[in-house]
Amino acid sequence: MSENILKVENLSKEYTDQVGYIIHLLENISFSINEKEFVSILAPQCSGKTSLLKIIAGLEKPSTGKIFSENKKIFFIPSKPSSFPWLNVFDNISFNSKMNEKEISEIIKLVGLTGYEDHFPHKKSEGFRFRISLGRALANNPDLLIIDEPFNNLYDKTREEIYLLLRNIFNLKKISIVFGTTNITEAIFLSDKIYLMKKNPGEIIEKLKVDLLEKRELSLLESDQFQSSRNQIEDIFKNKLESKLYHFSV
Amino acid sequence: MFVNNLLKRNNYNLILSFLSAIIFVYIILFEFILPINQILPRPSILIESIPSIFKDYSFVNNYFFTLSIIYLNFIVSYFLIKVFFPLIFSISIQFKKLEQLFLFTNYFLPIFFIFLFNIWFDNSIWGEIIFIFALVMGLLKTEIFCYSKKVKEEYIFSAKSLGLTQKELINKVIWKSFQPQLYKVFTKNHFLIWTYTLFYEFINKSGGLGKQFYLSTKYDDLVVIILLVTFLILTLFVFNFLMKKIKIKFFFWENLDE
Repeated sequence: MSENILKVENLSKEYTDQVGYIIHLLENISFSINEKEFVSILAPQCSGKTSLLKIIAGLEKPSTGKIFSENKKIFFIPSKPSSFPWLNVFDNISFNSKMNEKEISEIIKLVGLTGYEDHFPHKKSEGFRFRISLGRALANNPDLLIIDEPFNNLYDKTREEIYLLLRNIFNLKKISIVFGTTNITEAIFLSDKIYLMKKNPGEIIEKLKVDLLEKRELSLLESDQFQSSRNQIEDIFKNKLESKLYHFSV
Repeated sequence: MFVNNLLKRNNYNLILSFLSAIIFVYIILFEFILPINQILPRPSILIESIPSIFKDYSFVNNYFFTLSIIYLNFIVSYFLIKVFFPLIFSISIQFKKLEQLFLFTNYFLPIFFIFLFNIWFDNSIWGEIIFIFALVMGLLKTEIFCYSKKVKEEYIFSAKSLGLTQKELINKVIWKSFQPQLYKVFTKNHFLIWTYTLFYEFINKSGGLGKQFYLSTKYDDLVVIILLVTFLILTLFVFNFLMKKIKIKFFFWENLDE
């Protein structure tokens, strides 16, 4: 039985909008993440998913509730590209890292950017910049990596490449990952566990275990097992919610 | 649309072609068709007069005087703003509303300060140096106030995740985000700063190209005015070109939310 790396208890977030109404963004959220576990938080848009991830990362404060992470090193990758455009790939990845040059080169190889060390990220694709952000996170040895909807603006082919990259890195490094998404396909493909979340207010409504092999391949997307997981999630959303999830073709 | 695209693509070629056409028309019109007139001097007289602006008007000294006051101020103020950036940035976050006041003072008040500085500093060159320095610093500071809340939050989140302290965050991330925007202050206000400098020197009469403009208008020396304007256009053209090259080389990224 793996140890909890992060535990969230009765977390709520509310704020007052411009008109003066109190908006309940997140309500009574409790869940836990184990060591070496890939967890997705699957939710419709505007459900407070990003706020939840920022709260877990310590970048925002909750209104009520507690987060237990016991001084774990948590790294947050935002949905928009966060690589620094004034630094080249090598400097971006080694930014604030204690790793030596050789170790950084290994990380660069791991995220598929070997040969691009001197390139600057501005004007590069979002997939390229995500690889840099991922590399920078890995170069700082995180215990928990929080990734917020990074694939929204990627082409299908690039997205699939990044799925494989992310899952392979997870298998290799065995760091815990929390992945926020609105996309059922990527949630199933990447995760070991999925928390389904509704909106207005944001609440966790279901916890699902994904029974797929540790090593994932794209052919899996066509498998019956994958489709049944997908149908199961769609049914939950249909039955429990009226809100729609958008998803990409498999 | 077509003209816009052409302008974007071949900006310098277009300007050069336009200037060449004007010079050609000027030579034909005033050298051969209207050699005696009250509008513009003959091109041949202009060329003959070039040595006199160096000899009688000590053009070289005055030219480099104005040039150094403007561009040394650019360099000094840039490095000073770098030193004081954390302080100005922190103030700008807390007193955001001062932005409107600064916008007013930067573009309107300098005209009055030209007169005041002329009285306060009389003919000292320090008056001009301090005036231009204050003007450039004011423009830079206003830019920080205007854009202080537009630093991309994804950079801030990443930096905080990496465990940067507040000081490191400002120096390593926010300052770098601001650099292209601050450099833009120089390119955007290049003509404005030249105009204020020449105006200051014109009124002050202690030195610089502005003083030469003053003397040439005093003696109704149309030839010198035309030559000075020509040198001025060439200077601005060259420095604009150089400043664009510096931007491409050192401040190539754009990363503040517009």
